[in-house]
Amino acid sequence: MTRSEKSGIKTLLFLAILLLTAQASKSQNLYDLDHSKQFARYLMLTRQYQLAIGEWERVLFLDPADSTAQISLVRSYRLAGNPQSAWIKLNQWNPYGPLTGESATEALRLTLQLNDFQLFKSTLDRSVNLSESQRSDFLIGAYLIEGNWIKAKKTVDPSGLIAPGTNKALQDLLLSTREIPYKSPGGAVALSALIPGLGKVYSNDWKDGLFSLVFVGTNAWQSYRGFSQNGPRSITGWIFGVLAAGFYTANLFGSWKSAKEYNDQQIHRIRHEAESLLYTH
Amino acid sequence: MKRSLYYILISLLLTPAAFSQGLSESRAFADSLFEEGEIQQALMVYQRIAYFSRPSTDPFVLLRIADCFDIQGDMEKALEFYDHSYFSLHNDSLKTEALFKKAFCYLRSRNYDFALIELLSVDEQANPLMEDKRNLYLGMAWFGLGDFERAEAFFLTIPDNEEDQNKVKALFDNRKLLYRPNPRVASWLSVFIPGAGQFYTGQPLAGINSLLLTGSLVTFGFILAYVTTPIDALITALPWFQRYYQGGFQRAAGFARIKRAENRNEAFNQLLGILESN
Repeated sequence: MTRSEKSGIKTLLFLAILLLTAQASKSQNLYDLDHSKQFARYLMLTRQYQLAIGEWERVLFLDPADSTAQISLVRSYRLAGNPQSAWIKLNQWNPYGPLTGESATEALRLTLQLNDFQLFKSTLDRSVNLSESQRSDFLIGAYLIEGNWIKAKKTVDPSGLIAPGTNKALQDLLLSTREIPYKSPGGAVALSALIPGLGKVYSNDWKDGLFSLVFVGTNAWQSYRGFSQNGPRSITGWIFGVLAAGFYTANLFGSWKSAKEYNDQQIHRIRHEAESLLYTH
Repeated sequence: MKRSLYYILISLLLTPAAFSQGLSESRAFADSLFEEGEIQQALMVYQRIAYFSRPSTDPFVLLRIADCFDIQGDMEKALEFYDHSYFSLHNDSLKTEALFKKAFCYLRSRNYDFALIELLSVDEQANPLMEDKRNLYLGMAWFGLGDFERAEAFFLTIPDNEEDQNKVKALFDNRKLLYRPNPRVASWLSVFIPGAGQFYTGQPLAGINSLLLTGSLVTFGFILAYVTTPIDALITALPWFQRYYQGGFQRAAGFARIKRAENRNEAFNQLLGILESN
């Protein structure tokens, strides 16, 4: 090899090294698009959703057309507990058109988180390319979250919502609702009208039911004794009578309330479980 | 040959310098944000630095992240990062500093047992300058656990003058401030005389209320027994009496616990006031 050839090789080598250095120089900027995306993903992984929002906003400022970043931003808002802002963002990019893939699933989760079931139906109609099992998951989720299942299951067979491939845990949750009885507040009041406290026992609150029976019973009995000994002029008869009437009325109201509370507890429990299966991730 | 060596050397030097320039600038930015109290922003930048400098993250950065979480009140994350920084630091004094910060986190969140675990692992011999701090934190932990004898022993090592030591001793000798009112005493007082427990805990109105209520029910029971039969009185008045009587002595114990905690808080503040000057 001649001297000039050797010199040429060295120059090429140096240029190659400089190019590599330039590449490394490019990677020095921790705030460029690539680094920002990496960091935003890290923030989401470590559940720092509020910080992730800021980072994804910057990514979109640098590249507004990045659809993955758009969905990630919406998801960050949702997971940070701000579904309203997430919905506003989603609608900025796609207010009316069809929703596909991640956009569709995020949009459906948001409508459920917003408790807007009309919006859920219209969003489901807009969602295209959702698999049968995904559609089934969301329909079951909406059914459970809305809470009407507790009354409706006598007239509606929810197992019709299940499709092949539906999330097993959701299926089990749906089927478990069949075992949960609906406690009629009217029925509880009627039972307590017959036997004080029975309405509360019906609502699985037997301790309170027992107290009601004892209080109403003992006061009523004392009133009866007073009147039977001294007739209508018996003061103790009237005092205990008024007390018994007061407790009896309170017991009716209490029975109605305990049946309602029982139903609410079941609805909230099922709702919470459905939410954790559908959209806390 | 010399020229090529020169070229290779320069480019090799440029590469790491080029990469670290982003990190060092960010570090300076983060430090200035931290100094200015912009903790949320500083936390973002420090985390960014930590993420992109893996696996050779500067332990000081991890310590700063922990400090940021601590200031924001996120104890769980602060403890996690104090741990990371502790295991990354090589300097013993700095490791101890991280340990103290972690212990202080535990103390502030009232996890005194965990604070003790951290503090008892500090090597007393290796860090004589930190001795006062260690003793102070140990005293706080034992105080929080209610072991005042041990707490006093540690607090007494801090003041270097006799006057302050005597003040500390006097504080711990003040049984009224540390041990009273006793919830058990309050409870038993109300068992024997309804309302007495509430008077003992400094709640005279609640005491009068309890006394009048249970007294009225007892009176009512006796009147009813006279007018009808004792069994009637028992069946009618007893449920009411039982409910308010039991509630009375339970509330007396509850009041006593709250009042005693307030007294201990006051004692602790006085203690810190004495030790501050040391």
